[in-house]
Amino acid sequence: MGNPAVTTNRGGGSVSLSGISRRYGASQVVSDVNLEARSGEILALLGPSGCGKTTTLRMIAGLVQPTSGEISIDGKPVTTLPVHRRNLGMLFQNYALFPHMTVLENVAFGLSMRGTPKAEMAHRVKQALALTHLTGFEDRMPAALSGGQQQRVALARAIVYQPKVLLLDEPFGALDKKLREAMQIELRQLCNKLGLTTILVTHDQEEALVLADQIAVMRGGRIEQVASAREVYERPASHFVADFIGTSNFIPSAVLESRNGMTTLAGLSGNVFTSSMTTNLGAGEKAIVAVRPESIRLTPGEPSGGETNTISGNVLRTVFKGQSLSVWLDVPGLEFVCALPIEAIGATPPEPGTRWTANWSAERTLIVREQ
Amino acid sequence: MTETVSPAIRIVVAIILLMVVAPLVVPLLMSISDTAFIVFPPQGFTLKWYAAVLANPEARGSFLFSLELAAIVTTVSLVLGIPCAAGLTRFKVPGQDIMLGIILSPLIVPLIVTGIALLQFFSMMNFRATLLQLVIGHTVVCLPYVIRSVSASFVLANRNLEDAAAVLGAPPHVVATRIVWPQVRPGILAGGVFCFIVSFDDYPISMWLADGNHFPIPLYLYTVIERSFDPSIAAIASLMIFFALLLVLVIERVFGINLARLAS
Repeated sequence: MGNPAVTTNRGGGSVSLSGISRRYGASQVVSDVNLEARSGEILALLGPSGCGKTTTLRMIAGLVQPTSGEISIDGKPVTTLPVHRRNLGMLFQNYALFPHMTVLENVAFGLSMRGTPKAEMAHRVKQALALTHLTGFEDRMPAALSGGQQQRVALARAIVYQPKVLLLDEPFGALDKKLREAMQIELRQLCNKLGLTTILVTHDQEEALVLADQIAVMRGGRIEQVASAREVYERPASHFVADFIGTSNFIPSAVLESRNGMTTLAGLSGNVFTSSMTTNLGAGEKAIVAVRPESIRLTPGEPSGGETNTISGNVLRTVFKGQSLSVWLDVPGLEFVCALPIEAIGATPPEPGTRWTANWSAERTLIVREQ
Repeated sequence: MTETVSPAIRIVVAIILLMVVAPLVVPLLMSISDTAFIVFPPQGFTLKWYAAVLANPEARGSFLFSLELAAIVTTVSLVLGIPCAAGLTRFKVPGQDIMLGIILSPLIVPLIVTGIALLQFFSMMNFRATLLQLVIGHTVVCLPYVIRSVSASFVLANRNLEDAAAVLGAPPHVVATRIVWPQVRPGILAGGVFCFIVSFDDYPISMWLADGNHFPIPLYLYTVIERSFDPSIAAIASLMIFFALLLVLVIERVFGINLARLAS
């Protein structure tokens, strides 16, 4: 679908937030947020509910005024620019389609606000509907559409006037899993095709991992980490990030030494861990070793001795999860969970009550700070 | 939504409807009675009482005056009520609940008390413009209907749509006319219709404030009842019922709004 009028707008606007804060009465909802979404990039604001991610997005849109700080789009400050003059596209949580207008009127709304001539308007609406696979739905009312179709209308409405930045507020929350996954991939392709800078708010880590080039993990109104999906997953900056994204086993430890890019730590029960992560924690300082369940290999019996990055315990229970078998080991102080790929299960799968040893590589040993 | 309603509920609803509608049918039947005085059940059939009423300049004058009064009151109530309802639902105003309580109080205080209070107030002020007095009096009792129905429509209006429109580039006045108005219009129209009917039917307020030159139809009806007891009274009552019915039907047809749904 090469349509020149839409694709000529390649290269979305960059968005930058510096020192953005928002307070409601006594509660500080967003504190000193610094963020940069580069042109054409998909940035996800990820965090639990109440972490300030939606407020941050609404401040970018202009729907909420920051208490302090500066927002700029393409280098131009927009902090005091009213919403209707920011020229952004936005997808709302429940789509916010105008119920008294047809699909066509909904999609054309942004263009008519911009005084687009009739002929061009018809042309552009047609393109946007084609892009979102809605051709033929022009005269339907939003109430007569399915959730997925409503979502597409909202998307067509948001991109038809070629905004430089697209804002998405939990856009897929109301869709079932299959449809959500399909829409995510479609959205990603569309954003890349149009070169739109996209900022997405979500509490769903999987959604952030699927869609985003960069993920900003938020907690309590602050940014915990901004990094690529892979880095956030493989090198979480904090206990919170490691816990929020994916599943992790957390082992309280203390740093023994850190040199030549390797860190050695001691677990409370005497286990020794080595990690290829460097840390600025000094010897003797408390740290937490985090291990992803899927990084772990399981062998029957006790460790052979002298190895690092092993932990052993009796199997508490196992749960079959389709692609993997989750195994919980009873380790002093914690339940250690391992995800065993189905093809890695040998002749004798782990049975509750039997003793197994978990081990993993130094590359998979994550060191995170305590809170 | 087609849900099966239990027979017990059907019966209760039928009884309630009967109790509401039956009294309205009585004057209709009495008005066509070919007798010199009101009888029930009616005897014979004639439309002469309607002809008599319509030919009577006093009745016509009162009817037209009531229309004029109701139209003015409705306009004033909407002009005052819409911003008031919007403000009370959209913003946090100190003393909001007290304000709303005062505005809605004419629904609680007996109308006759409100009427006499207004009369005393106006005479203390030495205020003699009867039409203006009637407009003020009626507006006081009509405003709660407007406020309640308009507030409800503002509460139900989806704020997200306004945000969406603003992001799409709509300046505030366009958001108001193209997004908010279509959502609150049914509530405003319903409020207006109720307001018109309440003013048109009002007796207890007008009773204190009217004079010979400003004589609404309910007062006229009452004086006719006192003077004579022929079926023309029933004809006037029937005409008033028809008029109210017509009003509701026209609104439903023209604006496609289900008033019954909004009244709930």
